[in-house]
Amino acid sequence: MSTLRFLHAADLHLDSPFEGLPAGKAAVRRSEQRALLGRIVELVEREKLQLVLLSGDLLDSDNTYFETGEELVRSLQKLRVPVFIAPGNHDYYSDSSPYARLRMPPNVHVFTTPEITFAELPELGARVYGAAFTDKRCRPLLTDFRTARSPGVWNLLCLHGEVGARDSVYNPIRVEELAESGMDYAALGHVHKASGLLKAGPVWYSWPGCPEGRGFDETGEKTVSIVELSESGCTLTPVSIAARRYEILRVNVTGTEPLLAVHTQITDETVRDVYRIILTGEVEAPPDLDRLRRNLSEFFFELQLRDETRLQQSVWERAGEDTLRGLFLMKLRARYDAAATEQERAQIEQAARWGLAAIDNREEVVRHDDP
Amino acid sequence: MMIHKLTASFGKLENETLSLHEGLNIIHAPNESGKSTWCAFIRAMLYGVDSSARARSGYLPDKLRYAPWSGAPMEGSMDLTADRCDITITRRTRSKSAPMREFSATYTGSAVKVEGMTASNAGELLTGVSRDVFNRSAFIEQGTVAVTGSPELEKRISAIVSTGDEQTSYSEADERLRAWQRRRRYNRRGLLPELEGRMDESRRLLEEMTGSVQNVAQMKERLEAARLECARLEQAVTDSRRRQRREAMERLNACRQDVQEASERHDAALEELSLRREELSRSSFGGRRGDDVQSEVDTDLDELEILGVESRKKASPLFAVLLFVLAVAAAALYTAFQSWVYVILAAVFGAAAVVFLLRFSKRRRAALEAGEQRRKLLKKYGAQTPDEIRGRLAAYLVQLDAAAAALDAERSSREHYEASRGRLAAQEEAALADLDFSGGNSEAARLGRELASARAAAENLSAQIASLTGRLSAMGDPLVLSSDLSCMSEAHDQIQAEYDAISLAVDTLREADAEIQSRFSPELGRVAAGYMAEVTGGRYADVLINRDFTARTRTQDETVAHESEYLSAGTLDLLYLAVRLAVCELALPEGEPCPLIIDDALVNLDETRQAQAIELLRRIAKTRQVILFSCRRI
Repeated sequence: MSTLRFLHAADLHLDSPFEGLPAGKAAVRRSEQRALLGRIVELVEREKLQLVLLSGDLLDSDNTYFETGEELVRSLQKLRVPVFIAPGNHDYYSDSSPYARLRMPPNVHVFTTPEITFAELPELGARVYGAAFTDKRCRPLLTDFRTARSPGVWNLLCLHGEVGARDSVYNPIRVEELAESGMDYAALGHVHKASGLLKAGPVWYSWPGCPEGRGFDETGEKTVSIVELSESGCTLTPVSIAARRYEILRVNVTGTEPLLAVHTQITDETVRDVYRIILTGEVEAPPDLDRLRRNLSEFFFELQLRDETRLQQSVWERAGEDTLRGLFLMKLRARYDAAATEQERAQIEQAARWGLAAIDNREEVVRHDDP
Repeated sequence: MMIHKLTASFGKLENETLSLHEGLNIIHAPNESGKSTWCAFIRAMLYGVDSSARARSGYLPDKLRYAPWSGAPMEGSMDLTADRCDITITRRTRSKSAPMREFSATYTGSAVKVEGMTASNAGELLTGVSRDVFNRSAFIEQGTVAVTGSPELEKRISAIVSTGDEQTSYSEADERLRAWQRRRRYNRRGLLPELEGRMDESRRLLEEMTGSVQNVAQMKERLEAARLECARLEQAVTDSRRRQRREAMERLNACRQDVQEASERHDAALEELSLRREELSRSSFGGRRGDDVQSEVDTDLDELEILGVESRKKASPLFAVLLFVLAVAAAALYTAFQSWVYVILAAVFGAAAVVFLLRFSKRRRAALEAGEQRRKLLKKYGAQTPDEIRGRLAAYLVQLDAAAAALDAERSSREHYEASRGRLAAQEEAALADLDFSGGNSEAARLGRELASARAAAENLSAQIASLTGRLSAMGDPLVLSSDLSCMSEAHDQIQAEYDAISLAVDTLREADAEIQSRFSPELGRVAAGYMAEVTGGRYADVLINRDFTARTRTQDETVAHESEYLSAGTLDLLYLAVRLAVCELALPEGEPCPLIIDDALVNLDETRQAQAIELLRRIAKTRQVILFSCRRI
């Protein structure tokens, strides 16, 4: 069998909002997101890939703005290789979905039914199987599906769904089903964290995760996969095409100056990234987030500061004093000890900070981002 | 501290002196004799005169109110004992804008300065309390017996009842917290409502945008359909016009062809006619009518018949010749026989021969003439024989017929030609109508109108899309907007959390304060109640003091305490005097008792109560100097 090299990407979620970015920065990200499609095209050309498998959730919703759809079509048009799209739960196929409304270029094949169908690619010696979500939720699509391997033909599967999550409403896929499917490689999508190359019986499979983070639940390096199938097996190379990353950094400021503590932990490479820095540790007085923000914001594309420091134990120690402060702390402490949730305790600590700041005639303990 | 002697150039006091002693000093003086001025002077000596205070309606600051009437500079001195030292304080005015600014404190009778005592701290050093607390405790001005709250006094009292943290005032801390809280939300103002407003606006915009985006998408679909329809109609119009034009032109050309053919036929008929006519005119009959020719020819033929017969009549000279021969024979016989018979015979024969010869010649001439006439007649027709003439006539008649037929043909062809010309004109008119695609009712015109309306619909859609798209782009990028919205929502959560934390702090602080208050109020109340019982002879034995230092009291028989509004002016004065004294007892430092300065606080009391109050003051004066100014003799 000839060697087959192709791109496997999923979960682009074009048109989904960006977390933590005010209007101006969101506009920048917006244009970058469109550029993401361009970078996919570049990658395919540069690496001379023979095929593109897009395993769903390319678009964030069926209310996709026309321009995004057009952009997608324009980009797909530039690809001179066959492209397969298996719509997922966010961009499920329907008569009114963008896939139905947009005129897809001839090199693009969109799976439109929940039944698994296939397309022959004789020039590549491959056959691409796939199916589409036709609603937000989807029954298991791979149940009882199996196909025979034909000599000299790679069997590929392009599908959106969740592996090993039995109760999932997003096309739960059992590993055994994959193993018996008769595929050589299953290009999956749905989970936003990359799986790496996995194997179920003789079947290689993986999901690439989302190619670019859109919020603090998608931190770290995000990639698309270049997959190579050959007689000797399967290799998967994750390639980063993301313009920016989301990162969460926890900085312990106990006994140190917060600004120095942060600088100690960041690198020079953060200027394109969206960071959430969470200050932790025990402090007597809350850190001055405004000052930190003023001094740090230039080092990041966007910076969120979160103060999760705890009141220094010694502050509570004054709870016994027979003064207004002492009584105030004592009462809060009683509430604190009775609090059922961490959230409640956090709120009580904050109340203590506010109260102490007021009693000591200190500055306001501003913690919020500037809206 | 105890005051011995005051010397004042202050208000109406012109370098006047007042000597005081330990215990209760009652300075009796009528109204307008300067009692309040002395009180104010004592305070001014202790705490100075505020030079920054400004006059306002109903209030004159001390610097103006007590400017010496004489015009002399405001100044004075005070001899006192504090901490077992005799001290003389003087305050003088150098600049009018800073009355009594120049300060000195020396040990009495010497020039040795009291270390550390300055214009601004003298009062606090000597009394142990700030001006604010002094005003609310030991300094009881006329008409202001009731104690008013101040953070400073509050701190002192809470410090007294708790373990002594004078930095913390509940109302200050509470006010700060509330200010922070108000910054976040105060009715419809503050960060939160503002943010909520912006978020609502963003949501509304997003909703509108989503609606518009869907509208635009739908309209684009409709536009696409309309354009396809336009294209279809354009093709149909083109086809239909082409067909209609072709058909019209075909009909027109057929007509033209008809006309052409008719014209050609007519031309041919004309030619034929002229040919026939020429033929006729060329004929010997010269184009004459057939009947005429016929009758003439018939006459001529008859004549020719006759002439033929005549010319064919034979006149033979044979008989004459025979007679002549006979005559000659007779003559010869005569010669031979000389018989007169012969002569007679020769003569008769000769004569007969001559007669016969004449007859022959005549006949012959007649025949020749007939022949000549016949020839002439034949020559008229150019014929050789009558049959030929007959043939000619027959031919001529045929020619005549032919000419007549040609004439008929010409006429009919002309008529046909004209008819076809008429038809062509009609057809041209019809074609003009058919080729007028702007109006009319032809399929092409109808389709054309459909196309125009389809184009108008498409253009209309296009304009609507442009306008909506314009509005959309003016509204901004929905993705940007929703990102911003999520940002705002996050900030909102944070601020809300701050607000909640502040609220919790406010509540908890109030609880803490209530606890302190629950301790200091009873204490203050207890002391005040003691004083109250003392001045009312035990009638009022209970005093309840609120946070703001307002007080209630009840008699021994009553179960419910009277709010201050319900009390008589005298009882109220007493109540507040009791509270004042209690405040003094609790708020003023014990070590170096600060003198009580009371300006006419007992005017509302009846004699009994006044006596009881004086008794109380006398008892208090055992521990601290009491300076009571009164307009009534007590």
